[in-house]
Amino acid sequence: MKKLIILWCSLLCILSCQKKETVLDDSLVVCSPHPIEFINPIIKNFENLTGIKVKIIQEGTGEILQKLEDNTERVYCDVLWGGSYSNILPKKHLFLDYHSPNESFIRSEYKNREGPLTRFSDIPSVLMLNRKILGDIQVKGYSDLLQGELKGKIAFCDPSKSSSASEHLINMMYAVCNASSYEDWDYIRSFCKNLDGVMLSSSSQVYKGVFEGKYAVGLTFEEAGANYANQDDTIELVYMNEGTVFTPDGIYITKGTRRLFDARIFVDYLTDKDVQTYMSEVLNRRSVRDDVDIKGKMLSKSKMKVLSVDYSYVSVKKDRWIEEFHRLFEESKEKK
Amino acid sequence: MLHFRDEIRKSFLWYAFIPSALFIGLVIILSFAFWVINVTGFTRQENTHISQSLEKIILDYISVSDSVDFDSISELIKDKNKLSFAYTKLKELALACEIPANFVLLSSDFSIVLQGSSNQVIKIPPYQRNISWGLLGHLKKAPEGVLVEVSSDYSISGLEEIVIGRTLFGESGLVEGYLVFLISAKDVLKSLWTINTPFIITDRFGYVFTSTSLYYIDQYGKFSPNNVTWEDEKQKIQKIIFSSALLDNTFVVYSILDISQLRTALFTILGITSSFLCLLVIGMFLSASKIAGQKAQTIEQLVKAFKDVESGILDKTLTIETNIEFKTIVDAYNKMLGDIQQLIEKNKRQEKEKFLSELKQLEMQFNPHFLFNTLENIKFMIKLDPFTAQKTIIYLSEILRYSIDNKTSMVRLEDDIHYLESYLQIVKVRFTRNFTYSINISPLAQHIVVPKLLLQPLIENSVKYGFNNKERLDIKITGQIQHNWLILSIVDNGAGFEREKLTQIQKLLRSTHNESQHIGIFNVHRRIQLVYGPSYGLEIKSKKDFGTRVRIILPLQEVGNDTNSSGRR
Repeated sequence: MKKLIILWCSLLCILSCQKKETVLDDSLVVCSPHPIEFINPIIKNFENLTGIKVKIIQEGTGEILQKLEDNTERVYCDVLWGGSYSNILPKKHLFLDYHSPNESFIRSEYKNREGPLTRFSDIPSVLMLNRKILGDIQVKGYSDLLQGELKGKIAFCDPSKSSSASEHLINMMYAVCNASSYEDWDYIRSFCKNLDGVMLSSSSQVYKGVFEGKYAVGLTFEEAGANYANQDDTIELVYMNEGTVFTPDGIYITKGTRRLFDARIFVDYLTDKDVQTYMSEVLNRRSVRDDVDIKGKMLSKSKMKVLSVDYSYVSVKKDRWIEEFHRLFEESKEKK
Repeated sequence: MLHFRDEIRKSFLWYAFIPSALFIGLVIILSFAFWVINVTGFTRQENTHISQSLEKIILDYISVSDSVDFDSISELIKDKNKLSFAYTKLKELALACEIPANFVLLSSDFSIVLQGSSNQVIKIPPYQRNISWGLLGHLKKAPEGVLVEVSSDYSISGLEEIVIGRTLFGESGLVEGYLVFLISAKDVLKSLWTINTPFIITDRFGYVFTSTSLYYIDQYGKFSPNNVTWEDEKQKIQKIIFSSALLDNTFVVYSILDISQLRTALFTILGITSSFLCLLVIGMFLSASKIAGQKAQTIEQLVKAFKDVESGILDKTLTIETNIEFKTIVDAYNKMLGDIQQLIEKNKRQEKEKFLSELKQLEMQFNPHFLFNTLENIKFMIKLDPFTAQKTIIYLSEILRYSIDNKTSMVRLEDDIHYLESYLQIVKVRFTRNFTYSINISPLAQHIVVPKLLLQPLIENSVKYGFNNKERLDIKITGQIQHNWLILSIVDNGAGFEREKLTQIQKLLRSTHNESQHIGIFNVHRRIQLVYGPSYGLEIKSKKDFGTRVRIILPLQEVGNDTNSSGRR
């Protein structure tokens, strides 16, 4: 009889099969807006090296921050890996102070002075050129984008949707629009005119569009451009002669993490020379360490005009700038 | 209350259908349970088999890497013979293992010293020469022991491999080189060709080394049974995942049992069986009521017979051709019915005898006073008027003969009146001119049959009470037919009754027992009612000092009718 009951029970189990194994996940939860190709090798090496299991949640920075703010009770992730400095600065209360032992190797301008904001990589805005489409037209900076020949051939993404586009807008404001004193919108107006009503909705459409020859010039970030430039000689990277804004991103340990120890190991790992070198050599991302050199077609900072940005000012102004940009873009479309 | 027929049908369902349905259900469920246990057992077995063979493969190479002892790498590079000896040794060791793995011997700067195949075996990413990355980087950081990793870093094809690496130390204790074995997923899959169930082999972090289906691998190259990264929840619940870990959790083998087919089969069989059972139920209902109807027929006949008895029909005997049990009942019933009929007959006879005796008794109450008075009169008259005395004696004897004639109790009114006249003559003799009477019977009424000596007691009463403080008494006797009745009335002009007395008499007439002195009136009334029933009888009206009227209402019965049959009612 007992056997019958056991059989019966097992059948029920199989039929319902609601085997909800509530095993506590022993993984370090890492949220990241980085692309998978960027995440995978670094995480895999980390796991094999340290034996710490990692669970990746890949999402946009905005979404992650939103969830972190909503989920103050339950820890949503242990570490936020990525998210540009300008985005994270206003939300730094969500993260724990931590100073990695690698901090001494970090370039002076990227030292973690705020407490929770350990820098990870350095991302300048660049212009990505497709020589096959562009021909002999000279493009050295933002002002060259106003040439009539480029009308409709410029790939730019909606700055409210892509952080690379918003970084470019900030760069423009500082480089050609006199952001810090009176705001001069003439350049943006002419730029919008030359966009000829084309505004893309995701940053990948920019670099892919330029690579595939749909556009002659794309306003994108260095890593994306460099990935193509290293493969294909007709793709060029141009650092704007009016000045280039470098925005770092970082690694941030969330408040309320239950795996603080592992999270710190993870931060140390990411700022370690090996990872930073790997990133620079293999993934075309600029290191924040002063002992790691740039590789390939990336230009050394010393060979270009670097604009410094007051991020507390930017974080106040950014939304209004984007709004104004949208207004001017719509205006240019109407005038057409 | 259920009918016998329904009860039979119900018991059909309870004792035939439900047990068989339960039995079939149990058989199906049990066989599925056995099937499921069998299949899961088989899958678990396969899972264990995979992990055991993988463990053996890896352990083999770990022990090979541990055991191999080389001369220093620098010497190998210098001496071709030593190099070829080392190659042969490694090749032999690799061939002795279940899966011949590729091997490579690297110098400390990752240049290839020797490799197991003439084709290129390993691809060392250039960045790994500068930084600690991948298995070689990890060996650099932790040179002791053998490292096992799943990696695609060194693969020519770019596919995942199991990379088993060990640092080789020179005599001085410095790192001289590395020995690396590379086991390709293809070879592992080949060695597991007997396995039927889909399986996945991952490393301890969930990175998939190999899998029989790409379906289960997420975008990070991982598999986790808890992560519903694959398609949707519905897909997941149709699968049972068995897992076993090996080499201290370095690898995990998952076997995925797809039970969706099993479920579909179960539901199909259950569906078919239940629809079959439904048909069976319908069939059973129909046949059960038919069979029950046949079986219940005898019972229903019996019930009908009993109902007949209930409504008074006793002369129907049962004739049922059926089995012995029912035959016994039927015979007993028939016998009982006969007995009851006999009893009823007997009862009726007794009742009739009782009735007749009462009737006789009532007829017999001929007042002895009258006899006494008459004889007293005769005694005087014999001397005074012998002729009248003689005539009186004749009248008296006529009346006496008539009254004691027991052969008939019913007579034609004509005859009764004749004898009544004899009586009246005697009374007249007694009271001479003070008593007068008249009789007026319509010719039709003459032939009506009435109980014998019906009127005599009433006349006697009239005479008895009528002369109270009255000198003369006149009695009018009439008889006529009205509607369907014979109405006889006796009207006197005598003393009459007082109101109270009259009420008392009328009350007496409504009862069945007489406890008063008014024997005459009551007896007549009682006799009429005994013979004809309660709707006939006698009514009396009287007024003090003015006289009394008695009316007798009788049914019309002529000679030849059976008087007894109506009297019985």
